[in-house]
Amino acid sequence: MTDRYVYAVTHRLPQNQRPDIERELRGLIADMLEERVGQGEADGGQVEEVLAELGDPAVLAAKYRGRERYLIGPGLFDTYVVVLKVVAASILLGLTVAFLVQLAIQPLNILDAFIDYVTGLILGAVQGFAWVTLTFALIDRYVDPRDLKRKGGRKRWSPADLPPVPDAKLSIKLAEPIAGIFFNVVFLIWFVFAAGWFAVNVGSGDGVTVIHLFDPDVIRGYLPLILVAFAVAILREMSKLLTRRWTIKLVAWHAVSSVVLLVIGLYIFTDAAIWHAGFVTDWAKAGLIDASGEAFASLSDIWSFIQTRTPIFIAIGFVIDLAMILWKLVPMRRQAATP
Amino acid sequence: MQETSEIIAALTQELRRGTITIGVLSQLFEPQYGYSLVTLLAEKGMEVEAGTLYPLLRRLEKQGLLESRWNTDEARPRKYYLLSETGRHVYAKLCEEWKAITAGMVKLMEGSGEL
Repeated sequence: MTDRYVYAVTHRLPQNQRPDIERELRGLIADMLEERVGQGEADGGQVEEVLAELGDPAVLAAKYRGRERYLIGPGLFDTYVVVLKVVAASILLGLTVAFLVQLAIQPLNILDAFIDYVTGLILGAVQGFAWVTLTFALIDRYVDPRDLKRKGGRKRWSPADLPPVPDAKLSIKLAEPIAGIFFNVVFLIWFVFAAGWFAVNVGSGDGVTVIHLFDPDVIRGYLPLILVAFAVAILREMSKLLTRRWTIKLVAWHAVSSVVLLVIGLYIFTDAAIWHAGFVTDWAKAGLIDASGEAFASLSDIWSFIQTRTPIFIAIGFVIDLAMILWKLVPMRRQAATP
Repeated sequence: MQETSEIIAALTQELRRGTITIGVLSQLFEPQYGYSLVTLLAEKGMEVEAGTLYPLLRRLEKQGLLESRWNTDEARPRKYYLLSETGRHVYAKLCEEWKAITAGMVKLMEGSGEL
């Protein structure tokens, strides 16, 4: 009994303290027994009494440790749960969509697709849970929340720490980053599980023809970069979720990540090989348009227009995005002046 | 809703908790080991559980207020604690604080007629 008790207390404590505490604890138990029994042998019942008096070993260990052990502390926990829910919902939706798309493309393989779907859900759920939990556990361990907020490295709160009254223009509605994470995860899963093709489905009587927008092999080659891009986008949305307000740091981070996305986007889309060369002819093969007609010609024109202009669209998108967030700086300046 | 008696018990415990450290320090001008201290304090009217005292002694040692030594002379090895130089100084200061606090409490309670 005594051995069990001592073990139960010490194994919860740091390695280097164990031998000393064990000696002390055994001494204490012996002293307590001596008090009850005198010089004789203590019997099981008395040992139990003494141990009961000492109490739950977990509680005693906590007293020795002097602090609680949380994986993710109370302060951080709510945010953790929110992120967990968003990621879970995104994975669910993304996989469901991929599954449905798969069904539409290859209706004959329902069972296979369904098995993939369920396995994907389970694996995806476990992965998502693991990554989110790990991230938050690390944040909890290494980041002292008090260190985050103090300006000038002071430890004590002072009125200078008061954040300005939130300007309505600067607050980020909860729905925005959640939707952002949601759609990013959906598209990410689409790319990863649907092997990265966009396809246009056309029924042509006796089956379904897949018309690739992108060349599947080339997309697969770019997959690591695509994953990085999505990771950056998702992280960006998550940081919005954590702060719920536009701050200078957030604007800067957003700008930097936009640049990263711009670079990756341009890098991928300036490679002409990414587009599926036979796109327009596939439409003809599917019997939707006449191979020599006007529709064919205009479609070809549109197709080359898209191919060459996409990098420009990406750049324009970047500029607009950047302008919009830099615009946030204006009310921020006003806000800094509130009493 | 808490029973009044429960509330009283909880608040009294809080009150006592604040006095344990001073009480412990006061008895360590002579070397004591954990259990002898428990008995000693109990004799003088301060009931402390061994499970509370032992970790406290360890913490006070870590803070530098106590020094410890394992005594292996007797049949059972025992860890003896003693006030350190710093500990004696801190204890003296704490006693001053205590006197100031009690003086203040007396004034507060005089007004309410409880004293």
